[in-house]
Amino acid sequence: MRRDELQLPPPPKNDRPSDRWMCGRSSGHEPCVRGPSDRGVCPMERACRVKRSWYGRRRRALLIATITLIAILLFMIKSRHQMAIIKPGDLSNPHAQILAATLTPERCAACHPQSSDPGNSWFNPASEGHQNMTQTDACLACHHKTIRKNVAKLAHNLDSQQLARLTLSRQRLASLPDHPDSWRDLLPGPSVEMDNIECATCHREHRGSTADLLAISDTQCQTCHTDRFGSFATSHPEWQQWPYGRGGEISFNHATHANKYYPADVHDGKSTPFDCAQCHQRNGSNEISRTESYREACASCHDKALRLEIAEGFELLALPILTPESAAKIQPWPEVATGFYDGTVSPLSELLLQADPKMSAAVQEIPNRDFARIKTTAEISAAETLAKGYRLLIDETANEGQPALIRRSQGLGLTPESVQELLRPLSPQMLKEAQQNWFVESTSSSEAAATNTTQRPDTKTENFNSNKPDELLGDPADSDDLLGPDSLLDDALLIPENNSNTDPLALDPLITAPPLAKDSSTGSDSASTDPGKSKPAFDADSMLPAGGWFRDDQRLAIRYRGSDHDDPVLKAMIDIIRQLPEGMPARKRLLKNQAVAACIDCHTGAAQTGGKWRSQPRVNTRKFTKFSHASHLNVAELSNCIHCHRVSGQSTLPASIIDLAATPTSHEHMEFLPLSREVCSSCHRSGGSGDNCTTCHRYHIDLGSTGTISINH
Amino acid sequence: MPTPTFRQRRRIAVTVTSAALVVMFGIVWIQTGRLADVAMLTGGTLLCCVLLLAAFGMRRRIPILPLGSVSTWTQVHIYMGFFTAGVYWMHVPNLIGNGIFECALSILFLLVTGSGFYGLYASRTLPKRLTAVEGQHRFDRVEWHRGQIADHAKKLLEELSVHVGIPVLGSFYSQHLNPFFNSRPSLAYVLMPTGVRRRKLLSGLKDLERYLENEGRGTAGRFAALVRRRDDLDYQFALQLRLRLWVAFHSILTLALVTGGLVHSFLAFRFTG
Repeated sequence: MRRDELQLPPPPKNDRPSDRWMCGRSSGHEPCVRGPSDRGVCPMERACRVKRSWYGRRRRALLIATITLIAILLFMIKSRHQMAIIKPGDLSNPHAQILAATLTPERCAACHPQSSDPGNSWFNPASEGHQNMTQTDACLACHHKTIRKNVAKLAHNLDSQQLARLTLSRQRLASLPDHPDSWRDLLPGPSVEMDNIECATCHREHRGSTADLLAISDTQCQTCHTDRFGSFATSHPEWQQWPYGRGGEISFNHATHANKYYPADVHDGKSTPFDCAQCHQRNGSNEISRTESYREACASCHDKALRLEIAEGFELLALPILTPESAAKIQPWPEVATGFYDGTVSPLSELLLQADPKMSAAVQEIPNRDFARIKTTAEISAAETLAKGYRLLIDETANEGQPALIRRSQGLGLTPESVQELLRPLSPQMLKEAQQNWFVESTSSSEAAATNTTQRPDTKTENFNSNKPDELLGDPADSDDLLGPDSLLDDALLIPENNSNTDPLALDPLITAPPLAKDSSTGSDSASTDPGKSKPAFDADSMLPAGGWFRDDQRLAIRYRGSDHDDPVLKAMIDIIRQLPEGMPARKRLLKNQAVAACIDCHTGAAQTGGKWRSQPRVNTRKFTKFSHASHLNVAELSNCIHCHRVSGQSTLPASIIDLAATPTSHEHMEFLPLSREVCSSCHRSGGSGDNCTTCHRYHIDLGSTGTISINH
Repeated sequence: MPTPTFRQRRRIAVTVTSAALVVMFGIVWIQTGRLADVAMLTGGTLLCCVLLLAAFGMRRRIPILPLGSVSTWTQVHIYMGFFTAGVYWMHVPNLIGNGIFECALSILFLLVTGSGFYGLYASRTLPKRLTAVEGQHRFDRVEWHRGQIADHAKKLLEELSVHVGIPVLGSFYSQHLNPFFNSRPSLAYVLMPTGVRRRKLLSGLKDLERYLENEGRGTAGRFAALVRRRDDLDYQFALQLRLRLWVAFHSILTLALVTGGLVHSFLAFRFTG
């Protein structure tokens, strides 16, 4: 039978597509005309079992889904597990471990201040106690020890001036003709302000326990930079000077040592090899030390010369030579310190005298601090004032001890620690003795000194010229012509009466002062102009080999003799120099002191920056560039220093063989040949050892108290 | 201006959608490099797209307002769906978010998107298959038509006079035809309608002809016509059910997605650093 021959009745028309209910009567029963009502009630007397239409069923499903959604939302709002539900992912391990012990609402509030009250957290902008608190503040609540709060939101944690200097330097480099340009320079700048960068700008949490909080792309690193580039291997700018030229606490020229001094140091016909490992050794953490101790690295060559230089020491004070007229005005004054104006104002005594404004003015009057240049009446008056000041200084120190000197130094703004270190070995008893020997003795023997200067006992000539009969010679009146009076004995040099000085050799300046008692700061040997000094010279070289303060009665000076490398008093002296104003004349003269100059010749920064006596390690510092030798030394090829660090003048020969005939290059003015990028990029490239910016560079910088910025990091 | 053909229209729409995705990706890449909060950008875009997609359902129910034709809205809905899927990938590169709520939201979005892509396929193929089958039956009346077919088949058997064909047809009816006419199609058939059972019944009836005389064969032929009618009805029911279920599933999940998306946006603004 064909389909169209099958006659089936048409369906009833008692429903519409939007009806929710349908008549339940199937074929064979009379369906109702209107169908069930909207509420699903059959109007027939014998009601049928109404059925939901598809529309009705869909609406019921929608209703159930809506009710379920509302129930879920209410659960999320009111549940005590709310935070666990809405948490957008696990915290990274470091944060998760710290917060693991806290309850959930407080745990979130550690970083999200608004979540401290879970009941209101969805609707209140800020819970009580956390108004105006940002997420960055929450971060710094824990991290303030590594990042200072006042610079945390600044780009690179540098202030605007430092940042501007850096930017200018990079712009200058970028403007060079050979500097490669990158299309990345055309990209727009950062979306953040340089002085208001939130922590969450770069550090995103809730990305899983193993997520790297420090992960950041190279593009993101460079978005703030005016000069951008692509991959490290192909377009990173060349190092310029880095890692050299960054300065250091110890001045050392590798090139001259490698090419000149070590080859010249010949033993048993062989020159000493220039071995990097002699000074740069691996420590416990496999890092390379910047230098070893002085004893191990430098003493073998430099100790003798250093001892000689610092043995010169420096002068605390030295009484000037005054004319008798001036000396008479300020009695008591040592007689041996009278004559023509001479002497200099030592830098230390100038500092100590400055406590008194009158003395300070008097010092200024002395031309070049040299008494020998005194000419005018004002200068003479100043000299007399200074002489009084010296005496007062000695008297105070003799009577009060070290506190007198410390008190005088306080007006200069010096730290008590440095002054105490300087004065620690200085015994006030020495100054007491100086007071007694120089001033008290001179008072009692001032008259005797006048004759002493003309009648200096000289046993040899006296004996020679006396009329005592010589047993060997017999009586001069004897007629022995050979042994009789000798006309040669009439020599004026031998007859004391004909000579103003008993000892003509006393006038010889060459023998009146010990060889090493020359004061380099004065540029003259003051003892040479000190006539008639009768005190025996104190041989500091033999009597003070370990260094210390001593009294020089010949020159009427209190001096310090340096002993050895790491002399504490010299260190204190240099520390004091560092604290003095730059243009101060006393400071300049102190820097010219031979002993001081010997120290700062190697410790170049000690006179500028406090505490910079020892080499500071470069690793684990918060500079722009980070580098660790430890990880590189595991590679056999890299364990040879000269693979990367080649001293100027060296060829590719091993470090033990220095090629002195190497052709000078344009970089010969530096100790090392430039470290090229290719040395690093041979390994650090994509697919290799990593070439991200953060592999070698830091963002959070701490340049230290100096605030200086090295362009070359 | 001549009306663009279907192919032209599709080409234009694909080009515009692709260009929009490329531009969006470029903006996201640049903003990521600028340290901007890209999640806010992509999330905001995603939310707007989802709301616009959901608006299509409302547009279909409000034909009075002059908001453009439904066919235009349908095209916008389809290509906006592609664009939204691309933006979602920019927003959630891992496709499934972390955390309970965001994971559920991600799954919800993927289900809606997946059902949307299925709907695009279904809306292109199922109507053709429906019109290929003879008869137009309202979905709600399918049950009534089944009842009519079953009653008719029963009447045919009763009208058969006492004859040698009665035990043959009667046996076949009780074993095969009665279950077929008086029960709903199986779930397997609804999920994947095939002609297996139709061919089986028809071949069975064919095999009975050698045992039947003329009247019996006529009755068998009518049974065959009823089998074909019922199978067509079930086929239409299956396809219509599939379309309707898809619409219900897609729209209910869209409601949940919109709700969840709004909650997620609110939370993101609340807890942003």
